[in-house]
Amino acid sequence: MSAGFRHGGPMRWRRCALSIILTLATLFAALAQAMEAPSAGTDGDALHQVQARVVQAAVLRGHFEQEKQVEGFRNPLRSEGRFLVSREHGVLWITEKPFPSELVLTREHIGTRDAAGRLRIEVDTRRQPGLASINTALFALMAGDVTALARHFELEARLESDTDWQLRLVPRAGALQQAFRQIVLEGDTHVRRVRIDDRNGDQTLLRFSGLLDEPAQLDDEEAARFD
Amino acid sequence: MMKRPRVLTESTIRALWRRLGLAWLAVVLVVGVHQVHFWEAPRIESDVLALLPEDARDPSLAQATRRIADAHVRQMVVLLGAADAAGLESATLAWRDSLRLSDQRATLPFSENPAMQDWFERAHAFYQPWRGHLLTSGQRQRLREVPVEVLVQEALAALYSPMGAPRLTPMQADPLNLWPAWWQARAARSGLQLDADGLLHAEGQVWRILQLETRDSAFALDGERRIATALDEAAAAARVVVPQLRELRTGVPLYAEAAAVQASHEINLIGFGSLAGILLLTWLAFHSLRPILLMALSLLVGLAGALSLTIWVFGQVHLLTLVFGATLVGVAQDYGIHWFASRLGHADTSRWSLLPWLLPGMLLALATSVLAYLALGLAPFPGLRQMALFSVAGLAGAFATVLLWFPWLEHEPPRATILSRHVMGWLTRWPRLGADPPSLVVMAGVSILTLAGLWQLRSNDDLRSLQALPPELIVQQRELDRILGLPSPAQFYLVQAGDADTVLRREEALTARLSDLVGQGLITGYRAVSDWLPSSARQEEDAALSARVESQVLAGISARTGESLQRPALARTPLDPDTWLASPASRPLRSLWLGTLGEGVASVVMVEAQGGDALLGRLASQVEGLEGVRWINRTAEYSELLGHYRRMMAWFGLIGLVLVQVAVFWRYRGRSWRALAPTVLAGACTLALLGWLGQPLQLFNVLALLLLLGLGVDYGIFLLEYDGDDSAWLSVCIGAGTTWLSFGLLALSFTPALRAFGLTLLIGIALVWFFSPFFRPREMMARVDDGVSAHQ
Repeated sequence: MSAGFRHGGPMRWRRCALSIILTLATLFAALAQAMEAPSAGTDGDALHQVQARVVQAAVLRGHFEQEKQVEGFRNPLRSEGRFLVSREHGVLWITEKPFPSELVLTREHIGTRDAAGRLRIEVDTRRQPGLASINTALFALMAGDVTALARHFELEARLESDTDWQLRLVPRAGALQQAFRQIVLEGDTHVRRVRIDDRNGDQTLLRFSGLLDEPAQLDDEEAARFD
Repeated sequence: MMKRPRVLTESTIRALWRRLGLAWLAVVLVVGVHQVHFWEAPRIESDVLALLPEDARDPSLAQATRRIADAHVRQMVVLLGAADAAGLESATLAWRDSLRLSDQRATLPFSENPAMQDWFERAHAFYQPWRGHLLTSGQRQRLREVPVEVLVQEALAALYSPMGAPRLTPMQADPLNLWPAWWQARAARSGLQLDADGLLHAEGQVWRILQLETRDSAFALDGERRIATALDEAAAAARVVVPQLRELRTGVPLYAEAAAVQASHEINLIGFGSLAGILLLTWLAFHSLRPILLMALSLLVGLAGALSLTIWVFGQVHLLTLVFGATLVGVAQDYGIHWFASRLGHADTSRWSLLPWLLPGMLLALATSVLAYLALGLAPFPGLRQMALFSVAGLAGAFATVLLWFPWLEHEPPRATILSRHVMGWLTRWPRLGADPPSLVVMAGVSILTLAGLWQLRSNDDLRSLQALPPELIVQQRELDRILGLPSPAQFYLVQAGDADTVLRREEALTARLSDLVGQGLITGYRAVSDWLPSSARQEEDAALSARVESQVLAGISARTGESLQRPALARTPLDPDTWLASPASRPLRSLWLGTLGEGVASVVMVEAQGGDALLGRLASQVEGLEGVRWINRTAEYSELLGHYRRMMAWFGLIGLVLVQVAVFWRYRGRSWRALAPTVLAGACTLALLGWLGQPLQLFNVLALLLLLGLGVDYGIFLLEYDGDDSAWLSVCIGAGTTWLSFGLLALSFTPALRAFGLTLLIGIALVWFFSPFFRPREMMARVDDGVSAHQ
């Protein structure tokens, strides 16, 4: 039997979805990665310097401003909102302006919450085992697995001053390379700015502010949003 | 002790024989030339299904089956599996390197299929203009039912979300981002989960799917393991990199090659085994080189003639015909043996005088054998017809060679040896059955045991009796089917209509029902052309719907963002079958489209499912109320067919028995039952033995019994025709011995059907040989007078 059309299939679409997931993962992986203490014998390695500068946290909350330049649009699309990263639960990405929306990322699924508060599962990793490994990788990244990150990206760290740093991620191959040219993170004790350059010319700028590591526990309302 | 026939003098026989001998020489020369041509480029068929009858009641179904088979005739799939993606990548590299090196050493008959590697890019580019014509059923429903304002909100949310933008087109070309979901639905239906690098995740491992295709010209079945060896080496090279690598392969060329390797092994085993046995027996019986050489000559002429005639009639020859034909060596030598045994027993008679005496018995023996083999060809199985023709031609060729050439080529009768004297001595000591108490006790005992055995006999018409794939290939295929969720080519829906568009519409009605079954988890997926090429009505409907809703959504987004977004122009007319078929996009699905079939157009819908008879019944019931859609279950149909022919051939066997009885009655009158009785009894005992052994009765046992009738009656005829003549007994013994050897070797075949055939004849021939002398008449008859009067 021919296994023909199975082979090519919707791969490119999967790649795109994957890219987005990885973008988010990468964002926070950078934070998480920084949580790791630098290992001995690599003094002077900028990457480890960056890691050393970033504050370790189990939960990080903050405010974001996003500016997206999309093909066919004269003006950039601006939005803002808040987010929450929990090493245990996952990521909440809540856009407040101009249109409210909510993205929920857990080990099991990626979903969006509609206006009525219902969670719609976009990707269920139990039903799509191909993405399960990605999600596993995502959580590995959030736990600061530099090896996993380095498998997908070439990492280039630069120290700007005593406190500021820049980290450039260039996709190595395949799916990510087809979606992105590069991802640039900037920060000090926390990531402050992210720039994502898409292969198709679109560009996304993210600015974080009001970053809080405390309280280190989720309250009930926050925890409920992951379910 | 022999009386010469009065009609023919020695000189007239010589003159006649000279002409006949020369005519036969001309025939043999023609065959020889043909053989030289044939072996330069042998056309040998190996597909087991080619042996099965085409459904005469339904030619379009037969045609459909053939096209489905043809579509896969060159395809192979190899799966490499490893624990992690990095290991798998390096193993794949090593695997490809190994194949490239093999190819450089000697051109391989296959190569990796390159067209599939960028299939998605090409297919996506092809489909792009019809994006608006193609909606999933869920999208269709949403666009109809959800208010435009809600859709606008969703589109805006997606636009601003960091997650909402996995797209295949610029935003305004597909504002609701329907296109990726359409592709994803096609993929989900294929039941396969590939990750970003095209790797498959299943059973806790990562797998790489490699597709191979045989080259048009380079693939010839010569009994060598070319494909398998190259793949073995590639797998070994990959295992150097990743020792725990798993490798699975499947594909028609692999089966064909395995079948050819096996058949060539069996042909050699049976052919040369029988030949060696015959030459040994001949040597022991006659202690002379000339009989051995002449016997070999008669067999060679017989087999070459058989092959030439088969190719001339059928255009090609099937591997299993050759395997079966190899047993002919053990049957066709009977005539040569009979000649030399007679010469040995009547050394004082001139060979020309011997001829008229030998002719009637030999002709009758040939006639019954030919009749029996021809009966095999009564069943409309192309394979059996080939085997029947091959056998009849082989027997006739050997017979003619013995009869027409041996008198010229053989000048001195062979001497009696210890073995031949010993064997000839048996006959006088062999008891004859009569109406005395010991005979009656033995007959009663045998009857009871036979009836008890027949009572236990059960039949089984499973198609698998025809398959003889190496077990490791079957195991690999099952695993592959499980991992890839491949649909079975033996069960499918056949969709027919007067024109292509109606076929697609009918498919859509069917796939709507199949989607429900997927939803219920009964089947994992299905494959249908209409999934990729909807009917024109559906396409037009979807195009209108998407154009209307998307324009409204774009207007809504423009209003909120202060932009002026326009929907770019898409194709105006639906995608039509001809355009689709001509594009690279249709390549993986083309085999489902049968095109013109009979009066109309047809396609096939395949189902991916793992389930038993209950599921098959459920699938069969889906066609209720659907016009032009039929559920086809080839496995069940073939089993039904095998059962039908098993019963039919059993009746032919009984009719054959009556015909043979009539033929021998014509010559032996009141004694004729004695020629038949040993064979009938042996047949019954063989069946009983199968019953006792718990072996199921199949078509092939019945066919073997049919052949037993033809071969076994010969022994009875020889003993009756030349009663008291120990040279006839010698030829029966040597003949039975070599026939027994041939079919005994056939019983070693890996093909279950041939094994059943061989086993039945192995038992049957031994029993006929053993029973025959018991049935000689007790009183000495005036046989020569009888023989002569029958001549006149």
